[in-house]
Amino acid sequence: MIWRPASSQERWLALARRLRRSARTAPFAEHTGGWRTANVWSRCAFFVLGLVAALMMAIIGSHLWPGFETTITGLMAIATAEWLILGRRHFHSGIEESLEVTGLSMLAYEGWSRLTTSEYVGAAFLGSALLIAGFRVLSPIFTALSTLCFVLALDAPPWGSGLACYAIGLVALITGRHRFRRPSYDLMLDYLVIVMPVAGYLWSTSRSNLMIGTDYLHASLAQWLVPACSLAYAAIALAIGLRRRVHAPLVSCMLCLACCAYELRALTGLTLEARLIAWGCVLLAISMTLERYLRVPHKEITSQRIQDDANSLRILDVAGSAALMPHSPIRAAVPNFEGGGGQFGGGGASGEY
Amino acid sequence: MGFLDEGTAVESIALERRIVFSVFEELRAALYASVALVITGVGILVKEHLDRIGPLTFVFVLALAATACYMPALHARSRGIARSTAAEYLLLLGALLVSADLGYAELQYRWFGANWSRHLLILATLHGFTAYALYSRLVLSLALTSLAAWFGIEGGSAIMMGSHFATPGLGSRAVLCAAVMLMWRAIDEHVHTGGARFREVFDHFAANLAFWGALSWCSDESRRVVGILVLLTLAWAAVRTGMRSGRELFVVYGVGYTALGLSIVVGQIVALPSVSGAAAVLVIVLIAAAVLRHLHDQLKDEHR
Repeated sequence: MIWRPASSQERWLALARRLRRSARTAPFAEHTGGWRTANVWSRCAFFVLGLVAALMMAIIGSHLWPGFETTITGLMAIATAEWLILGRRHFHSGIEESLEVTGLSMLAYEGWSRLTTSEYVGAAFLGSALLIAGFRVLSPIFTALSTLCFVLALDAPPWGSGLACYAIGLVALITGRHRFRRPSYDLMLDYLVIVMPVAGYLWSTSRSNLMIGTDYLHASLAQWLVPACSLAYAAIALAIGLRRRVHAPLVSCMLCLACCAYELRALTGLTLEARLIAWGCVLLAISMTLERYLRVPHKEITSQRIQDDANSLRILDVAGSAALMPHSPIRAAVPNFEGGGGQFGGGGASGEY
Repeated sequence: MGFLDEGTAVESIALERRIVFSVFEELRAALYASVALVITGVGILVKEHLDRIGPLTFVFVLALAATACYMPALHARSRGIARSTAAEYLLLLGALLVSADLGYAELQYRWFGANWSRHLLILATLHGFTAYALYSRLVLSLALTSLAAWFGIEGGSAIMMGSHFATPGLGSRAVLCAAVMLMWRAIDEHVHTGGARFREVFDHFAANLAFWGALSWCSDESRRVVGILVLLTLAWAAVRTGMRSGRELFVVYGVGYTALGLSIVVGQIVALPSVSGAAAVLVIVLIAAAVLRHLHDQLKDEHR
């Protein structure tokens, strides 16, 4: 039985996606074995629809089979996902991914709730479900989440969990040197490279420091290890990313630097707004300098766009810009302002503020 | 590679063998983050220190900073050269600073008195003019956001969570705002011989606003029927637009918003934790998934 695309078929599917061609047309159709995928937006929509469908199945199950609803609904969700994969040849389509992961998670929940109440065992059960789902549908998100669950299941002190995350991230970073025949295995490593150091930082920093900044001018050496780990990982990721010419370590480096900057935010003693403006200007200056410097490729690295964005992704920068638009300070200054209370042509404004 | 043109083949091989490596996306993310940091800082500055800053000084400093941000884009235009990504984001920062500046000035000096929201219309006009003069999609998005704010729709998707979401007034304003944006696009298409320059931006803004308006009506008992009818009409239009232009996101809008709207209506008529309510939503979701799959395959075959 063919239970998922062969590695060569997956590579052809990845090539079709990169070239924005349909995998159902020549020459891709001859090499993809009839597997069907979805583009990014459809995949997201299918994923949400699958989640809602599983939730509704659980509600119906709770009325029809009280006491066994989770097991039966979980099995039904897995059966539907398998039918979509084996019968309809769906791969990375979204809906089979959400049904598979919700079904397995329901079974994991059922197993955990019947055996024990320990949350660490629960994390191990959930991690196993995510791992099985991740390898079944070849989803890097599920495998990264399962790794986080297993770290939680270690029941280690925060420092231990944090170091475990950094260690996993480093192993993924080093293993990334090898290119797998399956593009999805490469992606699984990429996700670990990006997710684990951020998780490592969140685990190792104190809960209070996430809300109120630590005074690092009077901090102990142990406290300094938190930003130092992020910084060290960022340096290693940057070196490896530039050497191998891959994106995941560079993204990881940027996120680690952001974690480090957040951790050290109280170091200068400046107010929040002053810090935001100052560091924003510094980042702007660095980005502009790099962009200018790399306009002409330097050691084959360039700041120029090589491939045009996919049509469907071009709208993201527009949406991002619109999200930055400052809210009207007048509206914000009036606590009882009612957005829907005014006349047409006045932004809902009655002027009574 | 006979099925690829030479340029695409060379480009693909270069990327695959990592002969050339572009950090364009990383730099773009860094530029976006820097703009977000600065404008958030300015926003807090305005909010927290209103009473401590001399209004005139602050308005002047912000205007000066905004002008400086506009300079690289103006310089590129005057020399007739393509604007760099950094200049594009600087222009965005400049436009955002202008928005903050004008909002602050209106709050301080109350130029428009009770009709304070007119400053949003001025912003929409100003950003619209800048977008066309400097050909910037990002600045146009600010113009459209200001226009939506003038109509009383502020906060983007966050508005969906608010208590005002189900008010009929919001739905009407959202649909009206979408209609104005489509008119703007039609005028642009008519005036500009090469077709609308920012067609995609207009279409996405108008589609989302119109769907939110229809969803708002669906949530309101008195306008539910009108809401469903408008929702279905919009879905048909969005799917048709998506299928004709090959823009998949419009197909997703059409199917996704319709499934959401019908589920909201079912949730209001039949209590959702009941078997019948859950079964109805399940049927809606399954039909939506089947329709989306069919349209997705058709779209791929037609625009391969």
